[in-house]
Amino acid sequence: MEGPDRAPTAVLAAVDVRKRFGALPVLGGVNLELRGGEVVGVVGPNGAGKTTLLNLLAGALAPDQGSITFRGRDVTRKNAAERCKLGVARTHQVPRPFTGMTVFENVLVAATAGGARRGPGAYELCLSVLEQCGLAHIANRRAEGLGLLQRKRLELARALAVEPSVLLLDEIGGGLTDAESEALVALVAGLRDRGLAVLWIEHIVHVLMQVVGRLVCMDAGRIIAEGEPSSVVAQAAVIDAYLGARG
Amino acid sequence: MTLLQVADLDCRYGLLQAVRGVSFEVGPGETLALIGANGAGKTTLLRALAGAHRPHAGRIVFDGADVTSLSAHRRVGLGVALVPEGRRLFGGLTVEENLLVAGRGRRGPWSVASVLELFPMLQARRRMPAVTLSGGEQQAVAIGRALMSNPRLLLLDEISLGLAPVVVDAVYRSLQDVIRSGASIVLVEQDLTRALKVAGRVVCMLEGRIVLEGEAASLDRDRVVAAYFGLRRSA
Repeated sequence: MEGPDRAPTAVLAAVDVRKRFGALPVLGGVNLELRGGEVVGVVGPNGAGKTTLLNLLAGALAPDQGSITFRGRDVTRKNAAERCKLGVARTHQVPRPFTGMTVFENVLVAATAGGARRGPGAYELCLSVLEQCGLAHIANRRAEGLGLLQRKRLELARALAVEPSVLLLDEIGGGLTDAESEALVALVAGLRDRGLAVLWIEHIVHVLMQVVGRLVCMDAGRIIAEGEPSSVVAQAAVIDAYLGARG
Repeated sequence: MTLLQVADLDCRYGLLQAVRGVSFEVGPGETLALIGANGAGKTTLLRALAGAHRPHAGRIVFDGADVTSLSAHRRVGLGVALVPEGRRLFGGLTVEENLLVAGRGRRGPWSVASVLELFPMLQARRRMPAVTLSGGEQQAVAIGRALMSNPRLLLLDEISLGLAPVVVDAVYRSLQDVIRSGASIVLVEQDLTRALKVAGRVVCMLEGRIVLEGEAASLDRDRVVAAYFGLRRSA
C-alpha cells in the first residue's frame, strides 16, 4: 500500500500533443500528467477536445505532434492494444460490447487478451470485477440485451479486468440515479486508493467533484484551467466557456 | 392563462432517459430560455414539444387541448413551429421556395415579404439556392420558414450555433421583432448573457430534470452556474 504522497512522477503523460481532423484543429498543444493514486477530471463544452485527448492517451489515435509517455517511456507509436498490455485501459462513450457473448465472456476476453490472466486466476478476477461493477447477477446474460447503464458498467468492468495501472473513463456517469452515481464515485475512489491513475471525462460536474483531486477544463482544443476542483469551476474563463461571456 | 402546459414529461432516446418528470408552463407572448450543459435534455424536450419526438410519459397541453399524441404537422396547424438544430433547409430550393414550402398553414402576419423585411440579409438572396447561403443566412431562412406557418409558439434550438457573434446579434435583433409580434418563444441557448437578455424566464436543466427556474431579471449568474454544474450551494 502506498502512502499519501505517492508517485511523484507521472504514470501517463501527454507532452504538447496536437491533433487536426482535416482542416479542423482539435487539440492545440496539450500537456497533461497522470500520477498513480489520483483521479483527474476533465470537463469542457462539446467540441473542446476531451475525447480526442483520451483517444491519444489510449493509443486509439496518433498525435500529429507531441508525444505520449508511459512511466517515462515514449509510447507515442504504440497502438491501443500495446498500451493496454502496458496497463492503460479505457472505456468508450458509446459502449461497444462484444455482442453474441455474455457479460462474463466480455470481461473474460478483456482479462485474458487485454490483460495477462490465464486459467482459474482469470475466472476469479472476472467474478470479482463483475461484483465490483454490479454485474454479477447478470453475468450470463448476452451483452446485446443490456440497457445503456448496464452497458456502461460493462465498459468499466472490461477496463478493470485488464488490471490496469491507468484507467481512462469517457462519460460513464450520465443517466445514473443518485444512488448509482454514489456507488460509481465510491468505486472510482477505491481504485484511486489502490494506486491507479484515473482520468475521468464527465459532463456531470457535480459527480466529478466528489472524487477528483484535480480538475482540468478544456475549451477549443486547449486546457484553459487546471487545479483544485472548486477553484476551477469558479474561474471566469471556465464559466464563460460553458455559458458565454458575462454581458 | 397559459398557452403551453407541460406536465411530468418523460422522454427516452434509445436506451437513455433524456427528459425526466419535466413540468413547466409558457404564457402567451412569453419568451422562455432553456439552458443546460450538453446532454441535459434540452433538444429532446424541444422536439417533444414540436411532435418530433414521442414522449414516454406525461402530457403536453397546447391552448387547452392535449396534443401529446398529435403528429408534428398537426401541431404546426395549431400554431407550433420548430427551428431545429442544424437548420435543415431544403438545400436545392431557393430562399423564397424554402419559405413558401411552409406557408400553407395558419393565416397571420407572416409572408415571404414580411420575412424578407424581418431579415434584410435575405433580400438579395431570395432567388439563390439555400445551399449557397452563409450560416447566418441559412439560420435566418430556417427561422423565416418556421414563421411562415404563423406560429403562436416558436421553438428555437441553438440558433447561434456556429455563427459569428456579429451574425448572432443580427439574428437576435430580428427575433425581438418576432417577440413584439406576440408569439410565445421557447429557445435553447448556450450563451447565458444572451438568454437572460431575450427571455423573460429561464429554465435550467441538468440530467433531464429542471434544476432551476425563474424570472430572468431575478437570476444572478452565480445561481445559474451552481444549477448548471449541479453544485450544492453553501450559502
